[in-house]
Amino acid sequence: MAILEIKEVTHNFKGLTALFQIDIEVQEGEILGIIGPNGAGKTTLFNNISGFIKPTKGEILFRGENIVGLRPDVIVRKGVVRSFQGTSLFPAVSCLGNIIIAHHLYKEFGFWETMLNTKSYLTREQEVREKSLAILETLNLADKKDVAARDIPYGYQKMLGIAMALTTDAQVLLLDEPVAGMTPQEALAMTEEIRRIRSGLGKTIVLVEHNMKTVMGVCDRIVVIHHGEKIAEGEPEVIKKDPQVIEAYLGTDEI
Amino acid sequence: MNFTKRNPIDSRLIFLGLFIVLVLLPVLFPNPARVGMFISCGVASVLAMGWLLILRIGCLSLGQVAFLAIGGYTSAILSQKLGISPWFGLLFGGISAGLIALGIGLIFLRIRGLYLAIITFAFAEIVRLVFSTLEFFGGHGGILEIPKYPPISLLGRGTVRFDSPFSCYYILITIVLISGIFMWRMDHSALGRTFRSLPQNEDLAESLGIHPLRYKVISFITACFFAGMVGAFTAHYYGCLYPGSYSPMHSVIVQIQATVGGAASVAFGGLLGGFLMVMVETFLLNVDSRWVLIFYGAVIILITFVLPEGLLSLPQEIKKFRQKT
Amino acid sequence: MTDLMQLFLNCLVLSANYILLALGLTLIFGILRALNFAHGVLYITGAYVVYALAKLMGMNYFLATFIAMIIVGGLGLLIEASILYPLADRVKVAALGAILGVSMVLEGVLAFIFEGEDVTIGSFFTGTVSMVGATLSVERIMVVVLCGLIMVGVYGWIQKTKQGMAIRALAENPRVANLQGINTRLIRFLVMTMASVVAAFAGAIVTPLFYINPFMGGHVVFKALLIVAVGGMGSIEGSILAGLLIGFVECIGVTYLGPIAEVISFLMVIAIFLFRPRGLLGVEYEFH
Repeated sequence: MAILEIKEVTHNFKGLTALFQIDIEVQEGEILGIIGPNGAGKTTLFNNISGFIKPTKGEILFRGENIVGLRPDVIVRKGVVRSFQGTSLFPAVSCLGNIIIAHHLYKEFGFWETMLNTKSYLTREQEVREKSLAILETLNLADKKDVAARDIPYGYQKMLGIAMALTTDAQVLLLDEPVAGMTPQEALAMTEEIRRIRSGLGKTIVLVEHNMKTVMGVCDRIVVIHHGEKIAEGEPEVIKKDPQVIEAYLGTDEI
Repeated sequence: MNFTKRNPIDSRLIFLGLFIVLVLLPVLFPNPARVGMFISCGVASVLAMGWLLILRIGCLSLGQVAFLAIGGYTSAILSQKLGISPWFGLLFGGISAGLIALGIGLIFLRIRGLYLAIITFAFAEIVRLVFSTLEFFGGHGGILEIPKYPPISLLGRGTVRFDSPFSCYYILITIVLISGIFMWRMDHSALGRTFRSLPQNEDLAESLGIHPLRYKVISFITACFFAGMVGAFTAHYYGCLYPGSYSPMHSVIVQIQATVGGAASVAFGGLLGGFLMVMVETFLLNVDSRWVLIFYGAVIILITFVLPEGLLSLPQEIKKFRQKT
Repeated sequence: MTDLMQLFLNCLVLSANYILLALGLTLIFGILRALNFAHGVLYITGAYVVYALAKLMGMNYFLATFIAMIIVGGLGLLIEASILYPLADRVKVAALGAILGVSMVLEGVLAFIFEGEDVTIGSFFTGTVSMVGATLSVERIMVVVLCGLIMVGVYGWIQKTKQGMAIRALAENPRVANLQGINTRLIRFLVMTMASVVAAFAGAIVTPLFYINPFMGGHVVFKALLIVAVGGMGSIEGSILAGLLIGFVECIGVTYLGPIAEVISFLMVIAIFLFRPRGLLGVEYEFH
């Protein structure tokens, strides 16, 4: 069984059909790329999967369970987390603070334990702090732990965003344009990171991207969406040669 | 705000210092009018602290006094019609305010931004209109002859009477300290951390497992509960209630007091703003009451341009200024 | 029949008054992206200037109105130049606080000078006229007619003239408008002055009908804000529609239910924000 199944998902929005009968099966442990010209509906798809909007028709199954209609914070507990376009951060909070906040699901705190500052609360806080510092170390951000997230370099911001998504311990990561706006070196580092997340942590990754080099280089399979419909699906080599895909991108500099 | 460099020892010392000062105030300045002013300061502080707590979640509450009114009316009516002791009235005032805050919070706090601020204002006006129209609440004239606090007998040592500002002050200061410590603790804990994440990036918070509405409601209920409690206090202290004293202007004044204090700390900003502004206001009232409005207006304009983060940010701003020159 | 027509006319007067204010507010919001709470106190200031000049100093009513419009227009310009424009890039909370401050200061000054008692000028257009089978006061009819003329004037100006187009461009997309060479600052000043002048006019024509006191400004501007919100932020047609709706509902409600009928307006706004935040005729708009 596929870990994430998108079954005939249609999303209508103010008279426009943003998504039409999208069928995608995501296998556990794979890196799936979703590409398509701008406005094709890719972020809308992510919004539907992560629960920010509801599909007009269709089902979305995570490990066989329909997650349509659940709140985003419930869906992430089930095991699907997403990052956002641009930077996925709390800008005015320090880097360490960002990761600490991301640990929200780790031993959720109770109201009175928190208010009365009990031993169990303090222990949890200490654990979270240590884990967060460790994460910052691996990102090479330990020296910037007290710097506000909006003040660190863009490449680091994106890494931080992904790290925050990882702290939720979700099995499926939906990454929205993870290398957008990055220099070639940064993009390369990010793709390495994505591979590491898959092989080292066993996560499943679905990413939306415009950067063809990245997509072709890191994805096991690719799905192409155009005008809200899936027009092609397959391995990178096959997609590159697909006439429909080429036509969809005709006139753009994207391929 | 830095979650990593917190120094709780400093804050506890400050609270201890404040406790001592607040307890000694009426002893140092026993003039009844002065003590009456300190009581007003305390009331304003609780409202200002609540306003700041609500600001944490990104909501501008333009209707704090509505909960003051709800608490006051609840306690007044319970004591007049059901003979419930004003001591319990404090609790019931807070509870009724909290329950109503829960109800409307669940509905309204889904809305974001300026629309939410406008709705808090609309709600406050509805409350005021209801209280000033319905006969059950005494209509325009309000409620009069509300029972004062009955004496407490200390076993074997006589009774403590509460018919002077002096003794009532200590009731209020207890409320101020309890609410201050409670809201301070909330703000500095993981709860406060979660509150702050919401206005910065609510979608992200949600995608990390935070249920935004739950936290917004917690902040809202807390602030309104204490506003209701202090509202109940004022009803029995002054002995009467007038719907006119819960006008929109008063809510704006809460905002100004809180802003002047400083948003950096919910408890200290609220206390500072409340005490300072009411003291100046009282002084001006003695000179000429028409100055009060101009004063508040001028202050908020000045603060907005010169010190937008309030007086608590003064040390930081001076440091920044020195670094520049 | 007279009663019904009277009621209808009163509703029109209330609506017209609200609409004039809402128009100014919606323009200011659309162009300056600011919620000018001081608009209400400008309205009252206009009324007081006319009161001071016409009643206390015996000046001709029309001249007094004209002077009021100039003074208040100048005040509005001052507010825009010294408060709203400098704070345009700041967080909304900051600008809101400052504007509330301005309105409090002005109210305080008015209270200082005029002692906060309710005053009125007394009817200017005396007499009644018989029409549609009812006896109606000429005054009220004139007010409605004048308000209507101003509304048409403002609307026509925005839609038909070159300056109007520039204003609409600025409302839609400030950055692009700037690139097109439209002088943003000048337009802002122009709009603010115009809205303030209209507010003064609305205040001036209303003094003969009602009693005024310095503290009415907040109440009135909030009503106007509700109308702007219900009609759709930045939509002139929306303000007119919502103004009529709220004006009539309130007027009828107050006549039969008393002051508590205002609650209906507030409930209406809450409902709009919950179910159709962009208002009746508004466009989707992001607040921060």
